[in-house]
Amino acid sequence: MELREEQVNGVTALSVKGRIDSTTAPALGQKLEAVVATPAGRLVVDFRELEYISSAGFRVLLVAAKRAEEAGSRLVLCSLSGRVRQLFDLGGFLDLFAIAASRDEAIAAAK
Amino acid sequence: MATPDPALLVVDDNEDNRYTLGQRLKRQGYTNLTTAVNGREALELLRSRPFDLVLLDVTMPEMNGYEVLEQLKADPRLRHVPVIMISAVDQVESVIRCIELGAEDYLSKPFNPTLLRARLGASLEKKRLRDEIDAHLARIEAELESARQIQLSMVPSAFPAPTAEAPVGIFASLYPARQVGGDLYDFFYIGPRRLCVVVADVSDKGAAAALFMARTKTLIRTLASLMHGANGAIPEPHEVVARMNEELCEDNPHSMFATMVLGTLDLGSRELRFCNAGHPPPYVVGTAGVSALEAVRGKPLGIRPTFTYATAARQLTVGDCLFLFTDGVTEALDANGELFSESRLEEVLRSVAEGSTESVVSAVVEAVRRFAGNEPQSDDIAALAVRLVG
Repeated sequence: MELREEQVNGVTALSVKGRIDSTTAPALGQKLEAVVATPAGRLVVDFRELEYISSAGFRVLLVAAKRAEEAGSRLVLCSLSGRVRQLFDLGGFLDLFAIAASRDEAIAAAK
Repeated sequence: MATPDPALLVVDDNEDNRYTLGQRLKRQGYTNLTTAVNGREALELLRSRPFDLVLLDVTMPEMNGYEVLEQLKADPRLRHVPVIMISAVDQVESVIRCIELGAEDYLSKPFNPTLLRARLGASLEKKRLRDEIDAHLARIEAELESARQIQLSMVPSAFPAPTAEAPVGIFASLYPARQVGGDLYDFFYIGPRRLCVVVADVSDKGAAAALFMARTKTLIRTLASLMHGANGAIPEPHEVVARMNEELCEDNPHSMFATMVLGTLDLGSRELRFCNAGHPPPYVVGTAGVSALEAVRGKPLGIRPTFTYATAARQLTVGDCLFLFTDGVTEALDANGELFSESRLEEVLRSVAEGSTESVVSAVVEAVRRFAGNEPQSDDIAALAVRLVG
């Protein structure tokens, strides 16, 4: 899993490439926590290059979403591919997160 | 000094050399010294008790340092004892051969006390750290192994044969991906002729998932029994699942969750009532073929206490086999990163349609193992089969 971070108009855009599983989820979790823990946090997680996400990955996303709700920060996911969208759907996770179709839409929603 | 008085073995055929080195070592605080006059004696001593380091002369008659080293490295019990070669100044070639064979370092005569202290210290410290790591790992392994025994004994392993009263065959297996895991199965009776079957999958795997699995498993039976009304009313699957969800949302700050299929099978009417919480749909294997029990899929348990669940029903007939499983089956990976998938599972189920419940479960597990080949098991696996024989 590779993470790439960019700042766009005060929003942190984090691109995740590869697989999120038991081994890589903790590192992603730490990255998410760092941004959403503060009320001013604005985070977009771009899954355009994500191949696979396991339950370990969903768990760290849930933790981050809960954290964002508590802290008053914002978390928006975007660019889910067919396969990843299906994984979200099968687990019932599609309506548990703010999900935008594209990075631009996500950044706008996160501001 | 790295360890309190490490056991050193000095191997040299020359008495003066043994004496000189011995004195040097004593002066540096090493008092646990043993000497050997040749390779044969050295190997006997090494096989008789543990040593922390061997100082081995390169040139000896009968068996030279290289030959002693060969024997040491070939013996699995002695392979890990650090060896420092003792050489004369012009023996670099021999020393190199010894180091290539596995000696850690060398010291040339006459011994420089600073180099002696430094090289001994380094080798001994390395051994000490390695021993510490090995001991630590052994402790962790032992603890996980006993946790594994406990976890595997939590799921029922007695599969009663069908009777006239309870004309069902049942079999199930649980295979954590590591020593312990987050999958579970259970089956039990609520009232005399209502069989409850469950399969669940806790997020992630390993020790954390195993702890949540234990919590989830205990809740299922307890809630089902509590909700079994005083008038004998059998709770609807979605009622049990909803209650479980509320419980699992409590004291769950790390957002652990579990997917689950819970069903109750009325052995009289042969009706299956079931609830799906984010879990792969189970299959019914019957004379008509293999079909998935598609139904409204509720959310996984443990996320939000307000989620709602629904019960669906399916009429089964004699001979039908219900197969519940976790995604460790369908998402098993082979060396090419390909998934086992639903289609392979359906193929296996079709091929054992007539078999015993044990053969159904074994066939699926075997097929997954063969598919994965040498790849480590990617996720926990649970599989449960129930067949109506009457």
